[in-house]
Amino acid sequence: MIYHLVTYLFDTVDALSFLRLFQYLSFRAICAALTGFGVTLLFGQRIIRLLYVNHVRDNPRSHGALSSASKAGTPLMGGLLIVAAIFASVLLWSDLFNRFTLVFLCALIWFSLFGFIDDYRKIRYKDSDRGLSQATKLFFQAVFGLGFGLVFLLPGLSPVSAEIASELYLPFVKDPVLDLGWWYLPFIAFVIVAIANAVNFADGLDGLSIVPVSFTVVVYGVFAYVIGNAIYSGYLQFTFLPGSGELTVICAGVFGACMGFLWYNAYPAQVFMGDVGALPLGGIVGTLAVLLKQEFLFVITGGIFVAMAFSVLVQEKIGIKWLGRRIFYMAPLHHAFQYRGLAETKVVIRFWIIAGILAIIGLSTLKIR
Amino acid sequence: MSQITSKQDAERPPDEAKPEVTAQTRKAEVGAATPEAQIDARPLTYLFTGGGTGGHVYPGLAIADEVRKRNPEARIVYVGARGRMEASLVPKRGYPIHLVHARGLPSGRRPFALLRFAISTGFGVLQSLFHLSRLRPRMIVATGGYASSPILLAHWILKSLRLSGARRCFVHEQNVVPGKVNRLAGRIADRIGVSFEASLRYFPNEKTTWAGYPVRREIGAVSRDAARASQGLPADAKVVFAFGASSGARSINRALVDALPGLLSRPDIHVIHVIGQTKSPAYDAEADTRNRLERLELGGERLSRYHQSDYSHEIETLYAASDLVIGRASAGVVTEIGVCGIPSILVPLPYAPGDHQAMNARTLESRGAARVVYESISVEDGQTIGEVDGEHLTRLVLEILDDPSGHAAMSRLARETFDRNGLDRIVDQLDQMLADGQGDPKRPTDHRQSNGRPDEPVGADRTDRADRTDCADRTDHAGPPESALSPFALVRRFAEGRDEAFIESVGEDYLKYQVDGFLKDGRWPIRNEGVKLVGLLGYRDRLPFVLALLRDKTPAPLFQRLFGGDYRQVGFIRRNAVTTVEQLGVYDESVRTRLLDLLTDPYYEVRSAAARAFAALAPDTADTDKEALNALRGLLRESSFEIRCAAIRALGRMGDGAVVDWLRPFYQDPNGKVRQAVIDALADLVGRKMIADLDGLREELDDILVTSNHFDPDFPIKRTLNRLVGMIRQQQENS
Repeated sequence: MIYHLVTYLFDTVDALSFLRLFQYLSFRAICAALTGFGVTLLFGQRIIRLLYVNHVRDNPRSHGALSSASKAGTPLMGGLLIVAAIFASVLLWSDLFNRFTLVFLCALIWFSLFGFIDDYRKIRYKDSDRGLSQATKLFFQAVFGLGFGLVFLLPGLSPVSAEIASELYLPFVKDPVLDLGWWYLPFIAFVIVAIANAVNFADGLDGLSIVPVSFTVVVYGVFAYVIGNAIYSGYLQFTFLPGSGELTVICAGVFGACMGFLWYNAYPAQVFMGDVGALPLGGIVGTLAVLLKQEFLFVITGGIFVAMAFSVLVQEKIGIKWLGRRIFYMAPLHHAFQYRGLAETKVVIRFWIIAGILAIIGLSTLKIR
Repeated sequence: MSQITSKQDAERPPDEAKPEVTAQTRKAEVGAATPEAQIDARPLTYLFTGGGTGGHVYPGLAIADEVRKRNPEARIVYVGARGRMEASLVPKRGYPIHLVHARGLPSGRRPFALLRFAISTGFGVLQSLFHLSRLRPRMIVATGGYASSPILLAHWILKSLRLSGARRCFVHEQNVVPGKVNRLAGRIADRIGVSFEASLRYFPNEKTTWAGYPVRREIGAVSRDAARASQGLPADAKVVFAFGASSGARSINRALVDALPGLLSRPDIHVIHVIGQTKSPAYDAEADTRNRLERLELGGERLSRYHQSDYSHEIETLYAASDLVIGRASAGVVTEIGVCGIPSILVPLPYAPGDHQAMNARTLESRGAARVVYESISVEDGQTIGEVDGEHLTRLVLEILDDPSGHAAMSRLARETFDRNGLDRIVDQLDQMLADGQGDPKRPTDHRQSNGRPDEPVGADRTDRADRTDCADRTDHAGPPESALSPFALVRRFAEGRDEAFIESVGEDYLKYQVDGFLKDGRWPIRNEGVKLVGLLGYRDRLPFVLALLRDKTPAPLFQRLFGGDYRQVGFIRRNAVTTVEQLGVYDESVRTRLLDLLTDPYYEVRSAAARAFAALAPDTADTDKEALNALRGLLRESSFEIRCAAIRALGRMGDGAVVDWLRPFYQDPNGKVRQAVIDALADLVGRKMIADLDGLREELDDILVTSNHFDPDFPIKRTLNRLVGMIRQQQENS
């Protein structure tokens, strides 16, 4: 909104032409990040207390019998904080008529809503098994994926031009490798479902998912800046996507919100994000990947998430359900490390390190093409 | 022989029906008159179907006999499955039979079996369409079993095409829990009659009535004295009559022979034993029973009171002569015994479809009319078989025979639970349906009462009936619901220990029988829960079976092995079986050999579980088990830290001072959990006073790496709060 107000002002009032500064993506990105971070810091303590008082807790059983060795009793649904901060920064600093922004906001609202329903049911029935079933979650994710795919492939609605909408790009390769046509629709749905779930699986230890998510978002933000800029994209031989630079501002906002959340979520956590945080984070990363046509970049920068999802899939579906044996000690992967005797903090920080290195490798694909 | 007869039957109509049919056909061709005229002209044709097993054929035949008795003009034909019981039973009774293809629905998701089922049934339906259009029956009577499915489907097709005219379809269900075909048939049939009121809920309300089981007229018609005279039994003797199904039941035959010495030692007891005619590689009833009998070396006098035959055509006489029946719990047997008012010991055929025999037996037991003995599983020549303990059987028989008032009560309750008018009610209903069918088929009749019951059966007074209804309801709802007995629910329930109140409500015997069923289930997740339950419930007598599971190295299907599968008894089953062995707490040579073998199992969790079991079970003796120790030492080279930990702890528990040399390389192991296991093991050795040189060890301990990647978090605030809550609770209790 500030973006629109300022644009209006310097267009009409000559004396305010210095406000042109607000048109620059880089400036707005920094503002967005600060807003995201500021909102979480400002409201964090209050929201956490509110959640706690309203019994939105991890373990709603008897208060006087909590084990002193466990984190039971920690407030849930801290994701609300993240979502609110992202909303605030996007509304303030983004061009709200940009199609990339609109698609992003749709994703954020959709995933937050059913993440909220999921968490709400768990709290309401005091049973972590009474949330939405895995099938229902998959269904909601797929519905969004298909709807998004439709918008993406219809020339009148799509944020990208029709010629390249259905092209498939790979990291390290200059030109599109394949035109999928309408097969791109199920592909989009698959990408959304896969990424949303992968991020969801990683939400298991304090701070474990939030930091790799922010690294990934930063990488996508840089890509958005390059791809949305005619000169840089030409120089680095990317297909120029007009308007996609707006996603840089959004990514910065998400990064700020994530850092603000980590403030409270760092070990030992004062709040867990719950599905109302994990689902929208996964959903928006998936949406960013598709919007920027960098779906396969996620396999590199989000390698942590991919590995976790893979370990869960192999362990559950092949091992436990079919073969009747374990393939890993435990799944997702971080629990396997804990089982081997690594303390939670150690596991989490090592995963951050790996995520950081993967992010750097992901950034290197900007140049190595 | 019967095959040949039936083939001829299929080609031409049976002799007795032939003249009418030809006459009728001509009339129909010439006449092409109104439907009424056609119906009036044609002999009334009843088509009976049902079978696959004798239990579905006998009730059909009983109904057919009664129909013929009431209306000798009626034409009766039977349609059954090729090569099954009905193919021989029906022609023997003098009814023509037409054989069609039919096949039972295969269990599980085996695509080829399903395909074969679909093709066979499809072919059977075509054959049935042919028979229906040729025979033009007015009434189809289906008594369940997969043999009836082709005719029912064909009828359904014709009916939905409105080609079935005034044809009516009646389905009879014999058991408490209906079979698959009859559940489906419930939608197709015009009316359904059930034998137990508890089964009313499985069928559409408006067309289902309680009819009872069609008991043959001969049953209960013979007097006790006449029966005993004809069998050459003294009038004052106590007669025990044992028989399996017509094919013979191994468990009953063997248990009865085992019980003979105990029973025949009483001079007034006579035993009638019908062993059945099974002669397969797995079980030859006659030879097996003879061998077992010879081993007993019973004296001549005692043997003279043991009357054996392989088959009986006059079972009604044997019922009438006996004081106690030992038999299977099929609906037919149960009802016949009940009608005759004989106390019984029922041995349900395990895991029959829907476990209906156990349900039938439990219904009777809860009425007080019978005792139930469940088969328990054991392994013989690598085959899983059911067996009944002979001594237990002896005890039960003597208990019943020695208590005249109890015996009389059981007899009365059995008679009250069943009435003998099922046959009348069913044939009345058939007549009523045909009478209704003359006019508008949709016309409601007085039979469709709101409570879904026909008129009062003759000979049963109202209070008696009310009592029975009450009871049927009670047995239906007594005990936990079916889902509480699912293997997964049971494991959840007993995970915290034996829930005695629950076990009481289900019955220990029945629970054990359920667990046996899980253990021999075809699906590994069920077997897996079964293995866990043996340990959780502490069934030590199932230890041999658990060990047999562990010995079973039948490979898994190739496709699974490609992904890391190994044996048919999958990794989880073996791991849990080892844990179960540990829980049962028995350590003998068989357990030791098995555990030693499992230390080299292909699945890592089994190896570590076996090491843990050694640690828990091996006795703490002075002379150590060198073989086991060396095997455990081999595990120290494993790449899995879990196995190394388990092996190290086991060495500490079983080994002597020499073990310290084996543990020394692990003092600086990178994995903290392994080092912790080493310290545990050393502590064990010290505690067991196995270490002479304590000073040396004390010095060595300096080498153990104590920095750790692991720590347990501690939130003191929660501890303080807990203390406060504890204080408040205590004060509340005191005041």
